[in-house]
Amino acid sequence: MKLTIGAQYHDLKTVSKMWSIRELMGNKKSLDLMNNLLPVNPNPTSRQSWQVAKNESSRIVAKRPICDESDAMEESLLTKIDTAEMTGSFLHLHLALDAKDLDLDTMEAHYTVMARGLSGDINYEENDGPCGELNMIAVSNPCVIDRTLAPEGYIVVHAYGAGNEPYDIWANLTRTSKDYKELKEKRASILWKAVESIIPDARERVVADLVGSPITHERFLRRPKGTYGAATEDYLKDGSTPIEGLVLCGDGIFPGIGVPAVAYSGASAANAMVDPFKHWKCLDYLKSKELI
Amino acid sequence: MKILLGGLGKVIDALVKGVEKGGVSKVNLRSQVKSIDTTADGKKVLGLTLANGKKIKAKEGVICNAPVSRTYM
Repeated sequence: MKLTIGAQYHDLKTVSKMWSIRELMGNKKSLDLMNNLLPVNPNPTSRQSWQVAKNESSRIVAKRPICDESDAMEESLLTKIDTAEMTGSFLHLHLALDAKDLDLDTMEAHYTVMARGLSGDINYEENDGPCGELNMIAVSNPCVIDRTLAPEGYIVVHAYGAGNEPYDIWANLTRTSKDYKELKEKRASILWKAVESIIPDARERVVADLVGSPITHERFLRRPKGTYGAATEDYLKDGSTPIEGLVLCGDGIFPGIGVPAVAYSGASAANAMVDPFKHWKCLDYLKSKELI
Repeated sequence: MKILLGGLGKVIDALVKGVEKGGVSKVNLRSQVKSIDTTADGKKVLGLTLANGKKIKAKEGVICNAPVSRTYM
């Protein structure tokens, strides 16, 4: 059995525009307020966790720009937004595998595979380590705990580098080009190796395989540069703004990236819209039901 | 161990169900937001304008989950 997945996406005529808080604020006066009434920089510079070094080869380096933390408290909301460091993007390998003779009961639901070891490889990159480029690979094997996720006799596996794939090396490629397909194959070989360290004959078991790149993230998730979200050090401490009735939430706001954290920031924002006495009433109700 | 049967999609289904419970709120998909609208002085949120031109008035306010990073396209 060989499946073709995703064919419908190739027919998409229109792609949703990227979006960001700054660009959604239609009124310039609101931006001025978000910038403490200081002149708004029309063209701020983005910061990325991963950059391709400009001075030499195509070596990819991790760079957290040095900034004076003492100034951070003085920064306006707009400056914080404009300069928040974007973490790297993702590389995904989604697999549907024939599970013949695989004993799921002896397997784990989740594996962490270090492609170059826990301490990294200094020959690969001077500052390599656990968070190095495509070093920590997560392999999710969810059928171990939920057999309904694939038809009987098959499993789904998802291997990915979370936030450790640079965008820059993909930036100028067209999705339909040969170069793009080749780069996908080349980069995904690291993910394949991670899967093969658990299921050695994984390639022979393939029913469907899909590779997702930073371009995929950018296109389908509308993420600027395919980013995972803001770097931890640059989260906004809460979603409040100087504009009455506007509250921010999402992965740029504490507690940050990932579904649970983002759901929490959404709930916090919703709570911020509710009168404290209503909160109180709600807590009393939960108490009366012995739920808290 | 508590597990979620049916995959991550079930979380989304549950969240949507929660939002739409009681028929007061609705989740609108494929409704691209063009701008967050404010009073002329920029101090208070009024609502949203969608890409198709439709305006939505905010009863309480606007909670925005757009990425903070600028797009630089």
